[in-house]
Amino acid sequence: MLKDRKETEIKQNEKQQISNGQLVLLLAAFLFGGQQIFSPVEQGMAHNQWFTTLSSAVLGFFLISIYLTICKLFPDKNFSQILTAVFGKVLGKIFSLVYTVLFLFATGFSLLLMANFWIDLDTWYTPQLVVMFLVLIAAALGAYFGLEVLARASVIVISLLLAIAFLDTVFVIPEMKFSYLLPLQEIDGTVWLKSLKYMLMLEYFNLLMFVIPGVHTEGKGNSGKSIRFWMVFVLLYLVFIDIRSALVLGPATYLFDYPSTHVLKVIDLVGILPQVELLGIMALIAGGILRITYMFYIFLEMVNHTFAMREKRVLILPLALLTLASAFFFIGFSEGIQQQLDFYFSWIGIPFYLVIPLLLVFVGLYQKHKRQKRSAVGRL
Amino acid sequence: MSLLLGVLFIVTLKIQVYPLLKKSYKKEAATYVFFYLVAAVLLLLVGKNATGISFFLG
Repeated sequence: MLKDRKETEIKQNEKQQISNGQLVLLLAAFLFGGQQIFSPVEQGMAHNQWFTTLSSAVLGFFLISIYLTICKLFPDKNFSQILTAVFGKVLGKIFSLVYTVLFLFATGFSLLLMANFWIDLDTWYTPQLVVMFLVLIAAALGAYFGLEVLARASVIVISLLLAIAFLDTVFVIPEMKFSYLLPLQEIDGTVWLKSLKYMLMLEYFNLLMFVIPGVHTEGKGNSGKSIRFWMVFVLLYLVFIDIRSALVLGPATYLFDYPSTHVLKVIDLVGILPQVELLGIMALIAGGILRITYMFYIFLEMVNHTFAMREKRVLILPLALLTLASAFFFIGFSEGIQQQLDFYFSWIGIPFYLVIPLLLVFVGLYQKHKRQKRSAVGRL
Repeated sequence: MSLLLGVLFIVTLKIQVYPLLKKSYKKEAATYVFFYLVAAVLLLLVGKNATGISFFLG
């Protein structure tokens, strides 16, 4: 019995080590993959959407900092262990379960958006189920091979996305009109806040997933500073892409109230850019698949930590089926999606992605302060 | 689709659950069966909404 427990603890503490650079690449691929396919656009923002991207990037940076600080304050623990250490055994387990369910729904929702993205592009009309199946197979394989393989795959996707963005930009320079950017005073405050809310919820809150596996990087200490430094460039890239779209499409960037409406912008852009159309779409899809794979991997890790499993890979099949079921669950909601998102933001987004992580930071800082004080007394 | 999920369950019992039981990983085997059954039931309940699913439902 004791041997079993020890074995479980060893397996639990087995962290998949990746370097700082790989972590930055994973974060970048996660955000790039999300921006084009999953990020929402509020109808009223139209070509001022870049302003929302800019403001949400600032808040996103703040969120990333919180999440990285949690990693730094609890260096030897995964997320489930952190929750248990802070909230006690029972409450910690309950929160752990809640986060597992939240990550399941986040993965399922992204899977559905990915399928819809494909359907919007596809002239032959591939059924949702087929797209979801294919993406899930990729996600299951990615989760099977682990974090390091995902980080390596993200290098390919990012280089492809950057190359495409460069090519796109060169081709659209003659089409740019700087007057499109100017009428900022038209922005309605309420619409902007709503748009900001959606961006935070679908894009930046999900970065909490980077705390889950205890992605503590190799080498001494956790150089959160260098990660933050590179994240500034990643966020600036996201803003740049939106500004570029606004410069080319201008008022034509009016979009509808469906969360994956960025797809329309992409389609409009590729209409202007037949030279790089196929490659651009391929890169976007690869980015989206990578994001879903990472989300699925995190869901698997969370189940593994919550149920203290000794063998997590065997769960890939049932969890993939569960993710598929959760994606189907959201199909019924596509009508009143805005109300659903509003509800989700207030009752789930704020408490679980902002308040609890902030609480973890404060408790971690307090514990650190206490430890330092004790060691100072010991030295005296 | 229930037939498909049932066949898959029997196949995976042999290739996933049986090796776990052999290693006396009883909790892992039970967790596997639990998650599979929950996923299968949920899929059958909510799966009708997806396009393409009618192919499996007949």
